[in-house]
Amino acid sequence: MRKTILFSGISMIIMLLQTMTSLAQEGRQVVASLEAGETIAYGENCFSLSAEQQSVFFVTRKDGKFYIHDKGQRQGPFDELSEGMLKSCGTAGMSDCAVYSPGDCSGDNGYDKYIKQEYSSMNIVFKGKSFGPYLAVTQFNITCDEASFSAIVMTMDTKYLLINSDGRSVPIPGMPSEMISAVDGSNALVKYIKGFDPSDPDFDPTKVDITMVMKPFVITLEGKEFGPYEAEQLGNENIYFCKSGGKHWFFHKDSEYFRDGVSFLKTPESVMPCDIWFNPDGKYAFKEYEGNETPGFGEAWRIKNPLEIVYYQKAGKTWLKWVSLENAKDLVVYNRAL
Amino acid sequence: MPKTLWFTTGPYKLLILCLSCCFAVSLTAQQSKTIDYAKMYGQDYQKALDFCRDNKWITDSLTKHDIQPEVAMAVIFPELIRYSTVQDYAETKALEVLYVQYGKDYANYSIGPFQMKPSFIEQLEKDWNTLIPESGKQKHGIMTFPYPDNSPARNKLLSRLKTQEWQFRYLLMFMVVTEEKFSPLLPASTTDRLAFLATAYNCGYWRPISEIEKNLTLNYFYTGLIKPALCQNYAAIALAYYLSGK
Repeated sequence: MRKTILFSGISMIIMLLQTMTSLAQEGRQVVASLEAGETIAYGENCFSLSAEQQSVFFVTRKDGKFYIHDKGQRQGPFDELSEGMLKSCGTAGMSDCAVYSPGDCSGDNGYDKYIKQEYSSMNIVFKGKSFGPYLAVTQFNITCDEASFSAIVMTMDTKYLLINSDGRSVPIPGMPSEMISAVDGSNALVKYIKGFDPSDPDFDPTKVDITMVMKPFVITLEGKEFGPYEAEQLGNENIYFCKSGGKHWFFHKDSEYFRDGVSFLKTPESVMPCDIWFNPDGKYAFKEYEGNETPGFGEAWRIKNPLEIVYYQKAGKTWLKWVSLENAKDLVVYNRAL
Repeated sequence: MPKTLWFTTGPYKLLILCLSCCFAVSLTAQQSKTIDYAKMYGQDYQKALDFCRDNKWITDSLTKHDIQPEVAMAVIFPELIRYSTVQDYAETKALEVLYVQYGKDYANYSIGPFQMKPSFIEQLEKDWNTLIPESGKQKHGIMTFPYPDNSPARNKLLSRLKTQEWQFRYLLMFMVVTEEKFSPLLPASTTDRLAFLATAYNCGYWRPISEIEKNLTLNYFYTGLIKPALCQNYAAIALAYYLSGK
């Protein structure tokens, strides 16, 4: 009994040390090797890759039987799997795309939680502080950790503002269409159309220059304006915040990338925004898949055949961790700073 | 060349197979009338119906290719129900990577509303190349597939499979190829033919006819990621959908 407790204690310390070491070091580690004839089972896997854990969870099949690999241990064979034997993927499985979308957070967007409707006005009540009153809160984005928000609001005298929880407030010089926000809430931008002034009592919609609708502009929380753009170029996959890119926003047109509105990088056509991970300084790595290689593209390093990717901040750096299957048998976890 | 192996098995065997097939179909038809699948699958059933309603172009296109749209849509209808259930949970990117890297043995998973697997498509493309004459290929506007078994080819196959247009084309190819393979043996009645085709679609149309016929009576269809204790009969759901439109 004592031996068991002692062994468990030592194991826990070793695991903790391994975890701490894995966070601080770049490297490649084979976390499991499949046996001959053993393949990764589809539909049952999400690998449960996380910043804290070096181990992964996955399910394999061999000769019609299931095997569960967890923390380096292989369990089985099992004839069938039950829900209780599998790990919940949560949003982890959706993390392979570098483009941030508020929908990546679990739960709702916080609108009902933080917007308080009065008789003829609205307030945003956030961490005990009230923002408002406003005539309307037309869009509200909250960060995944609910630490900060950004919003498009209409003031009581019908002016549109882009605001955030730090107290920043930027007038929007037109009709806003959509706001997107940085992962940490440090920046946000609004797409808007000029020539529409809802506060002008003499505003005549029939006299609006319709070509302006097709030429949207962008304004950021820093108060900088950009544009005009072509309307079809401002889809959410072309103008975005990168998950690991901090407060900087990106615009992708053909094979050219703009960072904070400035031309920044040209890539092969096959490299899409989902594939490039930027750090806040603009350094980057990109995903590359077998059968779709991009030889000769700069000196950026490749994330080869990732099955799942996570990113995290540690010691002032942006880290990427991903898992790949190599040589048709080795499940390898990579950890590398951008 | 090997149009179908059972052509050489003699008329008696053929007769026995046809009779047992009819018996199995009648069992399936009975299930399709007694079980309320709309109630069983609830919202997912409704979403499958919505898909059929919102994608009328598929039925129109099938008609243009001389395929009975109500039969073809019934064949894939259970898959539409399954797709409604799993599409929010299926983590397919990793599986795509594995398939392109190492092929169907490493990741043979269902894709898109018609839940087609890469192994199914690989077989279908091969059979299209070998079984369908040039005139047939021209009629349907789908020519011979180049078939190198390597990563770029698998990448292209996946790109096709992930589009709705190609899901439709592969369904069309399935109907044409199975007609070519099975036409002398397919039951005359539409419902019996549908039950057979639905089972072939689900269990693998390239299997021996005796195996497909055996599968007609087996209940192995389920919608979640984990197999439940009680599964349903694929062909019975297809038949119930078909009959509900009559």
